[in-house]
Amino acid sequence: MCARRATRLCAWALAALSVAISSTSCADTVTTRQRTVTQVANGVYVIRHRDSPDGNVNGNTAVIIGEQRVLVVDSCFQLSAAADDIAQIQRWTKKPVAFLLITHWHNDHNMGSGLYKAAYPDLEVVSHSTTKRDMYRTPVTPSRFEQQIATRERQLASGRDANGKPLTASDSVALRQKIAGKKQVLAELHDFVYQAPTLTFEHELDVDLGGREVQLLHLGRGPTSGDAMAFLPRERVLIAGDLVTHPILFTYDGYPSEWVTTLDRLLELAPTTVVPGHGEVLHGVEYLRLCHDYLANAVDQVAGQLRQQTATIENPSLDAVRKGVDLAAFRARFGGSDSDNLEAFDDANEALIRVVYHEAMHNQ
Amino acid sequence: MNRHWGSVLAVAVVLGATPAAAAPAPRVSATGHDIVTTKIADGIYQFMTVRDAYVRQLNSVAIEMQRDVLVFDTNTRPSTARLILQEIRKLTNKPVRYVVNSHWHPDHWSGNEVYADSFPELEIIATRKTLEFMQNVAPNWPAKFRGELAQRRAALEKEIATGKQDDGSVLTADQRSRDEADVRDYASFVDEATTLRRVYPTLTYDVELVLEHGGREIQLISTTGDAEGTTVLYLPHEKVLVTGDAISYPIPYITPPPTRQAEALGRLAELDADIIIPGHGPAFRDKSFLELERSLLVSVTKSVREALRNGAQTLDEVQKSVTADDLRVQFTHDDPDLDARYRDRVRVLVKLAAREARDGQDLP
Repeated sequence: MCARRATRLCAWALAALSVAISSTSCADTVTTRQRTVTQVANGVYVIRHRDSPDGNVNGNTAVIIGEQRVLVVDSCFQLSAAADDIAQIQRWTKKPVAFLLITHWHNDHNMGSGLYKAAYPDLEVVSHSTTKRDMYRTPVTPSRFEQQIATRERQLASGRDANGKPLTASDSVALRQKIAGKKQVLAELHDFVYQAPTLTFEHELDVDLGGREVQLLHLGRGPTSGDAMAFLPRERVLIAGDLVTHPILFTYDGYPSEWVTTLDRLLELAPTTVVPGHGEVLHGVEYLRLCHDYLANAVDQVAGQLRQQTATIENPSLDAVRKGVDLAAFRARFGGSDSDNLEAFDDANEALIRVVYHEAMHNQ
Repeated sequence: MNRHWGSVLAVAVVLGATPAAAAPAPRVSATGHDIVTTKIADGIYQFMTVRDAYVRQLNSVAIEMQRDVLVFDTNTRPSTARLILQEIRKLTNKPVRYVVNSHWHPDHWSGNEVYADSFPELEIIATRKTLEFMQNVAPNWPAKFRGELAQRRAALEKEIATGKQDDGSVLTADQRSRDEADVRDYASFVDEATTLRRVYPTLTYDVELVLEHGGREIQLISTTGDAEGTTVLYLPHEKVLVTGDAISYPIPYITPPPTRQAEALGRLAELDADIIIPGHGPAFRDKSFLELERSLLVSVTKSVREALRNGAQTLDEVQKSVTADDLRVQFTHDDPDLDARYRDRVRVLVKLAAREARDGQDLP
C-alpha cells in the first residue's frame, strides 16, 4: 500500500472514529502530512503530528492515562498541534495531566509545554537535569523566526541565495513557501511562553499514575546528553524519544559511541512496542536493533580507519576517513525504495560519519 | 523503663542556643503527645512531636509554596499526622501536594494515609530503595509491634510484682504510674499501627530529584542516613537542610555500614546550610552537631580497625576497648540516662564497624 494513500485512509478512519488503532506497519516516510492517533495499549495513545508549515518536524506525543492521573511524553513544536493534543486528551479523560516528560532539549519536542502548564496548573514538567540546562541555553524566541524571515525576504528581493548564487524560478517558489510557513509558525509563537522543566532527575524516576507504573529513565547519552524515555514495565511499551526515530535515524549530533551502549540497554528492557521520537509506532525490537547495528558499524569503521591511517598521517582528515567508511548496506534497510527516505538517509549518514569522526578525535 | 525523657528535655533547654528559633509552648494533643511548632524561615515550619510511643523529638517539616505545601515525613501513626495536619491548616489553607518520606523506618511514613485521604492530587516522594524496603519490611510490622507490646506488658507486670525496676532499684509510685502510662501509649500505638492503611510512595527516584515548584527550588538527595536510600531535602536559596535520620539528636541512630554514613555526613557538611533540621531533635543553627555525629562514626570505625589489627579476638573485647568516651559528654552532658543510651549505641556501632571491617563477618 502506498504510504500517501495509507495516511489518507488513516485520516478518514480518524475522522470517523477519532482514534485509529493501527496494528500493521506500512511504509513510513520522513515527511508527515497527517495527524494520526494510535492506541498502543489500554489507555496509552501516541499522537503523530503533521510537519509544521515551515517544514520543521513535530516530535511524537504519547499519552499515558492512569487511574488517577495522566503522564504525557513530549509537547511537540507547533503550538496549535500541542493545543489540539490537549483538547484530545481532555476528550479522553477528565483526569489531570500531572507530568509532562520532555525527552530531550530539541525544540520539536517541548515547545508546547507552556500550554500544558496553562491547562493543568499542577503539572510538573519532568526532564533529565542536563536537558533543563540545554533548553535554557537554547531558548526559542519569536525574534529568531523574525530574523529568519527577514533573511529570506532579502534573498528573494535580491534574487540571490545565502551564497550569492542567483535564484532559479523554482528556488523562488520554494523560498516564498518557506517564508509563508515561517510566518504561520511565527503567528502562533506570539502566544509562546517558555516553560522550563520543574522536576529533574538523574537516572530514574518512577511514577505511579494510579494502577499504572511508568519508569522515566536516562540510560545513557544518545543524540543529546540528557536523553530520557518512558517505559511501561507491565505493557512493555517503550517511548524512546529521539534515541530511535523512524524511518531514518537523526544522526546530526550527539554521542554515537555511547548511543550504541544506550541502545543496548533499551534492548535489555525487551519492549514489545517502541514509540520513536518521530515516525510510526514500531512493534518488536527489529528496528531498534537495526539502529544499534548501524551506529555500532559507523563507530567501528571510523575507529578502524583512524587506526589504519594514523600509522602514516598524524591527524587523518574527515574526508580521508570518510573514503574508507562504507555504510551502504544500511541504505535500503532504512530508506527502502522511497526516494525521499533514501535522500534523507544519505544526508543523515554523511552527518553521522562526521559526528563519529569528531567524537573519536575528541576522545583521542 | 523510660526514665530518662524528663532529662532529655532538660538537655534540649540547656542547648537553648542551638535551636534555630525560640519554640512556643508545646501543644498537647488529646492523646497526650506534645507538638512543638517552630517557624524556621518564611513558610518553613518544623513540627516536633515531643514523645509518641517509642520515639522522641520526632520532626515533620512543612514547606509552603505559592499554591500548595510540601510535608517532609509523616510520623509514627495517623492520629499524630492528623494533629500535625491540623497545625498546618492553622498556618495555611493551601493543599498539601507533596509528601516526602525520608526513609522506611515506621516513624517517618506511617501517617501517609492522612495526607493521601485529604488531598487527591498528592504525590509521595521517596527513593526507589526506600519504596522497596517499605514493601519488604512493613508486612512484618503488625506482628513485630504486637510482640514488643507483649514484652513491655510482661516487663511492667514483673516490676509491679517484684516492686523493683530491671536495674534493681525500687519502683516508686511515680515511676510506676509513668511506666503504666508508657505501656498504655504503646498499646494505643500498636492499635493504630496494626490497622492503618499503608500508603506507599508514588514518585520514586534514585540519585537526585530537583523540584522547582511554587517559587522554590527543592533538592531531594539520596544518601545513607540511618537507613540506605535516605532522602535529605535541601533548599539552596533558603539554605535550609532537612536531614531525616541522617542526623538525629541527642544520640545518633546508626546503620550498617558506618563508613557510608560517615561519608554521607561529610557530603552534607559541604552543603551551604544555615539551618539544619534533623530527623529527631531541635533545629540547629550551625553544623557542630553534624560534625560531632560524624566524628563519632569516624573515630569508632578507626579505633575498631586498630583493635582488630592488634589482635582482638572477640566482639566483647573490641567493645571494651572502643568506648568513644572522649566524645560522650558532648552528646550527653553527663546526664546519666543519656550516658547509658550513649554507651549502648556505641556498643552497637562497634559491632557494625567490626562487621564492616571484616567484610560482613561478625566477630565471635
